[in-house]
Amino acid sequence: MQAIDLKPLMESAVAEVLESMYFISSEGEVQDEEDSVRPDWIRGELEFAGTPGGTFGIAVPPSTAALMAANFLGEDEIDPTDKQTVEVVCELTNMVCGTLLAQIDSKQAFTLSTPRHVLPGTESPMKSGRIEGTYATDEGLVYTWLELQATA
Amino acid sequence: MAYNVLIVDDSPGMRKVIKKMLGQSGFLTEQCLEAGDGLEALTVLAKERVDIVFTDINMPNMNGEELMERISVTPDYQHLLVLVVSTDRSEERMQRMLALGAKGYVTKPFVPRTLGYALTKMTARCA
Repeated sequence: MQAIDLKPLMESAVAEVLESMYFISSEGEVQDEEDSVRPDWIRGELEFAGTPGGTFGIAVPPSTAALMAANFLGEDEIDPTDKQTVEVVCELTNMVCGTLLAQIDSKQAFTLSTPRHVLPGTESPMKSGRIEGTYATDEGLVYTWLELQATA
Repeated sequence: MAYNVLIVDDSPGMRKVIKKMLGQSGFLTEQCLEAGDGLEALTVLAKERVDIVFTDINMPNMNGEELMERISVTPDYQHLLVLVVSTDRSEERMQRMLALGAKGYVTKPFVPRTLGYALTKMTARCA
């Protein structure tokens, strides 16, 4: 696989999914220290197998996640439950990862694991080479990260 | 004509969204059934009359590709119209699902008109 600049692909994958399924506009990457991930953010994570394989994750503040869940589920879910909110973040993880992988290699069928909710304090240690970005949206921040397995 | 539909996806939220988008697209459904994975889908198919199956691919227990394989070799299910709704938009996967007998493929994320268009195209072609 050719070396690809993954940062812009990640940003466009986030924007595409947020706009079409959550009716949220992405306003680009932010880099202020105060915008970094906090322990109470809701996290979804999954592994993918392919060439390359790796891990992908998303974290969003609880208030943003609740708004996303309400937008995603529709007008009859003005006040989604915590369970629904977590499920919606996991589905967001799934869709952004799928969109990103298609941009990396549109021919290859990657296999994605079922996204899981990562509880505070149980996060995997960050590996070197992590590609990450925090994006401002009209409903709050969205943090995404990608770690690729080293290929021979 | 109103169709009996089965939505197979491990995300309850996504099942709800597909159901909602079906309504918004103007597609007529008589009954809208749900299953959380391929195994549950086979249980529903054994009991209920279904015309159209919407299936995700990445699911626990039995994924969408395995479900499609089972449908393709079961004589009672040859009338089923299967529309794949998945985050996987690779050519390899699409070709594999279509070769197994899927009649359409919609990638997530999608908007209601995409789903409506795929359904109309699929039902018109298979009428």
